[in-house]
Amino acid sequence: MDDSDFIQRLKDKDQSAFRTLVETNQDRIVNTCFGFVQNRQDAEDLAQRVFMEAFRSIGKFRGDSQMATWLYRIAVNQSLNRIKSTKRRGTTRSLEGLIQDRREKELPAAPETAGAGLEREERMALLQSVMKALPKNQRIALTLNKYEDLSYREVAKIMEISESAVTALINRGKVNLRKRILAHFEKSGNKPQSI
Amino acid sequence: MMKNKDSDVHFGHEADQTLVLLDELPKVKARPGFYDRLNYRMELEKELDSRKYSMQWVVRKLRVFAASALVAGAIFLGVFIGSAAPASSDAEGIETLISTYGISVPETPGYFSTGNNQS
Repeated sequence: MDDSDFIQRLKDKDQSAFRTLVETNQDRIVNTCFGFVQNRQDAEDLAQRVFMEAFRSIGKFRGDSQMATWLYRIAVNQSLNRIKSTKRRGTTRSLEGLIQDRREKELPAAPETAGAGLEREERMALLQSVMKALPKNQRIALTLNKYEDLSYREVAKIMEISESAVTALINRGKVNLRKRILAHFEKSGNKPQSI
Repeated sequence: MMKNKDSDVHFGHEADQTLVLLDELPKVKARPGFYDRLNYRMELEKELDSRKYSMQWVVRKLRVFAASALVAGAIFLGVFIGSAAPASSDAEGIETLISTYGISVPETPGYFSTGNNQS
């Protein structure tokens, strides 16, 4: 089926076209939202909002970008709005809470020894926690690139900036992440094992 | 001094090991039945929206009705006050004052006499 036909059917509020749109894109949208909010339930809730927003505003879709790109944009906006409102309500979660949450329900442990698995989980939780503190654009670029494995070109399209700007954002983001992780280790007094 | 340098190297190594995980970030997928849950939610929101809309319609109508009633009441009150007041001339007004406060005006002819008619 032609893309323009599909878009027209969506504009005509055709339910089966909408179902196709959802089922084709649901995983990538849930995963993108998860990259921002780092909670599966919130991510699903946000993804539902993304599709509802898409259904409502499909009339505004001009078709000058791909449908997936448009959905990613909505997902990023919805996720950032959610983060903002969560911050306003003062319900930020501690790193310990995040680790506990992951241990309890989020993701299966890596098939390693218990100690190594735990260490990996803690590192992962730390990484996700410091990602939250990155400046907005660096966070968007890194999330799209690392969670969704999107190329710099695709990220550039979603963010409506140049590829070189995406490269710069991701590099700066990594530098910032390293600084923050270092600061965390130094603050928490993680003693070097080799000494 | 040497120990500090070692610890910096160690922390750097730890940070790099953590950063490596950037390429292993967890991926999640939508749970089965995502579309059905979404569809149910959309139906629910549509229903809520229509209820909200009908409530808004009622409120709008009530507001118009209340405003009209207020204007009509004000007009009626104005007309009522206007018609309750007696249509009186100045003379009647003086009569009323006299009867109300018992003021009597002496009727003495020549009170305003100029003295010309001495008889």
